[in-house]
Amino acid sequence: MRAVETRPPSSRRRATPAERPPAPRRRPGARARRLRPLVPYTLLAPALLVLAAILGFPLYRLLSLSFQQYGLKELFAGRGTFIGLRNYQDILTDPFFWTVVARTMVFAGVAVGLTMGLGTLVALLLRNLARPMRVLVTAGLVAAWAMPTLTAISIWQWMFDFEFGVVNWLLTRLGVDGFEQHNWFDQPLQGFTVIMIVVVWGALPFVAITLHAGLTQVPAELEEAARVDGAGAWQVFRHITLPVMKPIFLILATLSTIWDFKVFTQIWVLLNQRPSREYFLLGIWSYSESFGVTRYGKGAAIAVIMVILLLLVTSFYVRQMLRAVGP
Amino acid sequence: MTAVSSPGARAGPVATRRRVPASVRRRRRLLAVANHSVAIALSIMFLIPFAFIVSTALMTNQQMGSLSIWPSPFRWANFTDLFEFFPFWRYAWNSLLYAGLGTVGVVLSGIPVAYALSRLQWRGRQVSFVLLLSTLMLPVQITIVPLYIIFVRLGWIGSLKPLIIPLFFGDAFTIFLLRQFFMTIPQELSDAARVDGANDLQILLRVILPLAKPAIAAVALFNFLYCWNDFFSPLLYAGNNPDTWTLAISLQQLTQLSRGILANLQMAASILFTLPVLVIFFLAQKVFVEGVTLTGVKG
Repeated sequence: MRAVETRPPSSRRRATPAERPPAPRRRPGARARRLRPLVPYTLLAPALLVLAAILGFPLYRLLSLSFQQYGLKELFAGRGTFIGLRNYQDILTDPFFWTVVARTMVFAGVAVGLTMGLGTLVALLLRNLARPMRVLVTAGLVAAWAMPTLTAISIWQWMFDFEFGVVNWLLTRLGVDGFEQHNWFDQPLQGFTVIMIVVVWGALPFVAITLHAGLTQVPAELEEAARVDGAGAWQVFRHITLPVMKPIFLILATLSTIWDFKVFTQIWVLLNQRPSREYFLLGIWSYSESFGVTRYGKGAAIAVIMVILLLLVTSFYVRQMLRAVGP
Repeated sequence: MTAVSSPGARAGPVATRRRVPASVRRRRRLLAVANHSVAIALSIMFLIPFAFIVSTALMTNQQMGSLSIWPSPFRWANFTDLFEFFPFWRYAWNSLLYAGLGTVGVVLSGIPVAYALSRLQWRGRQVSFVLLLSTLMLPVQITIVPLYIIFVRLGWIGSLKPLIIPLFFGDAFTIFLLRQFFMTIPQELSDAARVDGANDLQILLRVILPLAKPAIAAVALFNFLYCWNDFFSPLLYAGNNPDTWTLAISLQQLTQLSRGILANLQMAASILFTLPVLVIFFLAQKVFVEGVTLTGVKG
C-alpha cells in the first residue's frame, strides 16, 4: 500500500532529457555555482579514501605482485624481483590454463543458468501458492539462506559420503546398482554435479526470494488482460513480467555471475581442502598456486586474469547498467 | 486500494461472474495440485539438510556412532550443555556487534556514495562504478593478505575493529545495490526539488531517502545476514583472541575440535545460530518486499 502511494505519478514513463520542460531554474548564487562541481567529490571523499586503502591497496599489491617472481625465498627476503609479463606468459602458454578457464566458464554458466531459471520458477510458484504453503516454502528457503555455510556444506558432505552417506543408502535401497560405497568424487563430472547442487542450493534462496518480492510489482491487471487476449504463460512472462522485472534480473544476474565464477568454499570443503587438479577452477587454482606451492606472483597473475575475464563476461550487463544512467 | 469497494462492488461478483466451464475448473484444480506438489518437493529439498541438523542435534553421543537417522531417545540436554561448553552469549554478543554495527556503517557510508554514483554528474563516475564492480570480482582469498598487513600495522588484529570500522567507509556490495535502487527513482523528482532551490544534500535527505527507505531496509537485511554468517574474516582477524570470537567462528572451532565427536553439539549450536536470522527475516519480510519492489519504479 505504502509503496503505491509513494510511487510518483510519472513512474510509467521513461524520462528523457528532451521531455523535461525547460525549467525556469532559479539562478544559484555565485558561491553555490562555484561549489556545485565539488559536491560529488565531497560525498565520495571518505568512502574513496578508505575504499582506496581497503580495496585499492590490495588491488595494487596484487597487480605489482603479478609482475614479480615472488616465492618463499622472496617472502623471507621481503622483496620480489620484477620479471615483467613472465608470469602472464607462463600462464597463457600453459594448456592447463585454458582447461581451467573453459571449466570455470562452463561451471559458472550452468550454475547461473540453473540459479536464475530455478529462482524464477520458484518465485512464480510462490505467487500461485496458498498462504500456509507459501510460508512453508519461504521458511525452507530462508533456513537454507541463514544456515551457517560450513554447517550446510558439512551436512551435504555427509549426505554424499561414500560410506555413511544417505544418498548412496537411498539409491541402493531403491534398487539402483553400483552405489554401495560409491565415491561421488572419483569422477570429476559426478563430483562437479554434487558441487553444483550445493552451490545452486545455497544461491537459490537469495534469488528466489528477491524475485518473488519483485513480482509483487508486476501489475496483475496487465497480465490478466494479456491472458484474456489469448497469450500463453510463456508469452505473458516474456512480454509483461520480464520487462517490468528487468532491473532486478540485471542485478541478480550480475551478482550470480560474479559469485559463481569465484566459487571456492564449496569445492574446498567438499574435497577436504585438498582438491585434485581435476577440480581446479580459477579461484582454487589461484589460491593453491599462491598458498599451496608458494608461487605468490603467479597466483596473483591468475587472480588478475580472473578479474579481467569476469569483466569481459559481465560486460553485457555492465554496459546496460551504465546506459541506464538517468540524465 | 480498499477505497475501490464501492456499494456496487458488493453485487459485483454475483452479477458479473460467468459460470466457469467444468473443463476450465478441472484444469485449474489440476494446476493447483501440480503447483502444490512441486512446492512440497521443493520445501523438502530445502528443509532436508535442516532436518538432519535437527535430528543430529538431539542425538546422544553413542547414537551418533550408529547409522540410525532418528534420535532415540531425544536428548534435549544438548542445547543446555552447549551453554556450559562454550560462552555462547559472549559469542552471540560479538556476532551481534559485528552484524549490527556493520549494518549501520554500511548503510550510512553507502548512501552518499550511491547517490554520487547514480544522481550526480562528475568526471570519472562511470570508471568509478566499473572499478567498484571489479572489486566485487576479486577473489577474497587473495586480497586478504595485503589487508591483513594493513591491520597488523594499525594494531587492530585480535579485535573486532578490522571487521566493523572499514564498513563505516563503504562496502562495494551495498553501494552497488543502493546505486541500482537509486537509479530507478525518476530523475524528474530531483529536478523538481532542484528547481525549488534544494541543494544536493536536501535532495538526498528529503527526496531520495524517503523513497528508498524500503530499499535501504532490504540492503540492511542482506548485510546483516552476510555479517552474521561471515566466518572467513572474523577467523582471520579475531581468531587469535577467543574473547572476540563470533558465533560463526565458534561453530567452526567446535567442528575442528570435535571432528565429528561433538557433532550433536555443533548442530544444536547451528540451530541456535540460524534461529535469530529466521525471526528477523519474517519480521522484516514486509519491508523487504517493498524494498525490492522499489527497483522497478522506473519500469
